[in-house]
Amino acid sequence: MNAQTASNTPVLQGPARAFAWSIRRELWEHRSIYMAPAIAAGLVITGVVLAHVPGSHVEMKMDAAGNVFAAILPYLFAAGVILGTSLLVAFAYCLSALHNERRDRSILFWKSLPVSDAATVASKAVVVMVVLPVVAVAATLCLQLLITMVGAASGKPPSGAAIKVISTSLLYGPIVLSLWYAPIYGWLVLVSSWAKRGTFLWAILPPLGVCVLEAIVFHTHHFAELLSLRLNGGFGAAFALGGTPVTDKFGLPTVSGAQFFTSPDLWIGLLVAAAFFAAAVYQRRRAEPI
Amino acid sequence: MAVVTAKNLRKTFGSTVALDGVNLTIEEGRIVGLIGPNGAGKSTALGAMLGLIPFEGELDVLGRNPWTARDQLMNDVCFIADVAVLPRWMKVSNALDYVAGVHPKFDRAKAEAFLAKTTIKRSSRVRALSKGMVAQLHLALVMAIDAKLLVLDEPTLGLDLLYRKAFYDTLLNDYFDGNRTIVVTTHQVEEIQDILTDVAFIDRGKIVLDRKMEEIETRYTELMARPGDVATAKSLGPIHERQVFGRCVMLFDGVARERLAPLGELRTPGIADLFVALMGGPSATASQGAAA
Repeated sequence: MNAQTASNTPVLQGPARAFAWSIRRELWEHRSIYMAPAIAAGLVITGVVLAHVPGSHVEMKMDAAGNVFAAILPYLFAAGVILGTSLLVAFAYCLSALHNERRDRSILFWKSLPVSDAATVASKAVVVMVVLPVVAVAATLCLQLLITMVGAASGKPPSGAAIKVISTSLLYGPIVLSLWYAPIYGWLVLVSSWAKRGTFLWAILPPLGVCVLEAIVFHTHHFAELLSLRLNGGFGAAFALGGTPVTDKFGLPTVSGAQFFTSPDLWIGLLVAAAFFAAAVYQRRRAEPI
Repeated sequence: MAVVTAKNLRKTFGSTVALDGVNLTIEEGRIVGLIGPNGAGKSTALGAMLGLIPFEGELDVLGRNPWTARDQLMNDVCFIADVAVLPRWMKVSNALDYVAGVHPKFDRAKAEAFLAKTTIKRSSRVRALSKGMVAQLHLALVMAIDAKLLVLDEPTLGLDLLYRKAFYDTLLNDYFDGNRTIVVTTHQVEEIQDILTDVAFIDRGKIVLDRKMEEIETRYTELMARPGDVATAKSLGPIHERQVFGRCVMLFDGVARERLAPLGELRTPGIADLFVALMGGPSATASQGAAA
């Protein structure tokens, strides 16, 4: 009887089915993927509601008519908080992705099941590059809608600029979270597949070491600039700030899809990410409990 | 049909030779005990069979190369390597859902029926279960998979006697049906010797003995020689001697029982006795303690 309830509805078959369950498994293990953005959103909305309580000492001056920046600030803040939270979650998730299973020896259980190493690593990549950005977008959208409703309830309808920020953050979030940071995720997952301990240090120190070495030996900073572009450049790449920033009537930068998707930086980054994930598959195949 | 065929299987870790040309064939429907001292290469051999480590030489498991096709192989092979490797964060219900989701040959009803005989709750997390209960849960998951080969690497290490006994009883009564093949390694040799059909001894990366249990019973004899007959017994060429309560106990390989019977009391040696004799274990008195 129970056999029918859970293992029925074979929508997917074979490897696709195993893959779908592998992703589900990740969400069981890493509840922070949806809990952290939800909690962050809860905190922000609490703050916004408090700011609207008349006479509250945290009341913000949200002047919808006059100051564009003041009107969009809560929306930007909301998007920023969710984005920052998601990045922290992504960082922690990637570093534990292939490390936890070796540390708690459960790799010996996972490997006893007909799921390939490539599928396992791919499930981790999909979680961090698809599931997490989707959660982030959903959280941002909910938050911004709530802010709009709170604003409307207190007699301040959303401005055009605010709607613009909402739509922009919906595009910007997933692009930066998944595509631009892909090589960083790849590196972190590779470190987690290989480092016996101190994954955090292994993630940070080698790139730092390369920067220092380059500065000492060649007196140049190419690698540091590369890293800096990767870490900070998602915004610039998405909004084409490096080229000719396109701004709208509010003076806000516009997401430039054409520039972003034709940028060699994006594609080189994705190739590097693919190489890191492939190396992680190679490592997972040989991995043993630690 | 051979389930596992290893020919000149080798594995080195740096300068350490873990497997030094292992030749082994495991036939369908057998329960094979792979016995060896620590560091003899048991786990390495099993790891190679299960596609967990790369190897040199030839190795065929159910028609596949385990290293290149581990994921397909796991449709027909199950293993429990070590105790308590189930992820601690997982709920019992998650474990059932997940294995049902990824394994085409998992019979959930069977696993549920087995769990119903235990005190394990579906809503418990693995971390909340005792070590024995984790072993029960893992066994429930594995037994519900219709696999051709089950590999058990120290599946009861650290469990108390009752759990160990129940583990092997369940395995034999509810799982083994004569068509499946089981390979098991353990240090508690005495506990499994009655369920084995075959035994293979491995030492320093080599198979030193590979026999059916019936052959062992007919081939090896242990004689507790009467004091006056010790010299005569020794002239028959025992492969091992030890002292028990001041009497000389000798192990003979292929010497007819009729020739030994007049010299003292005879008995069929246990696997532990054989192990000690063939592996040239530590001291005779110490090994007697281990074998008892």
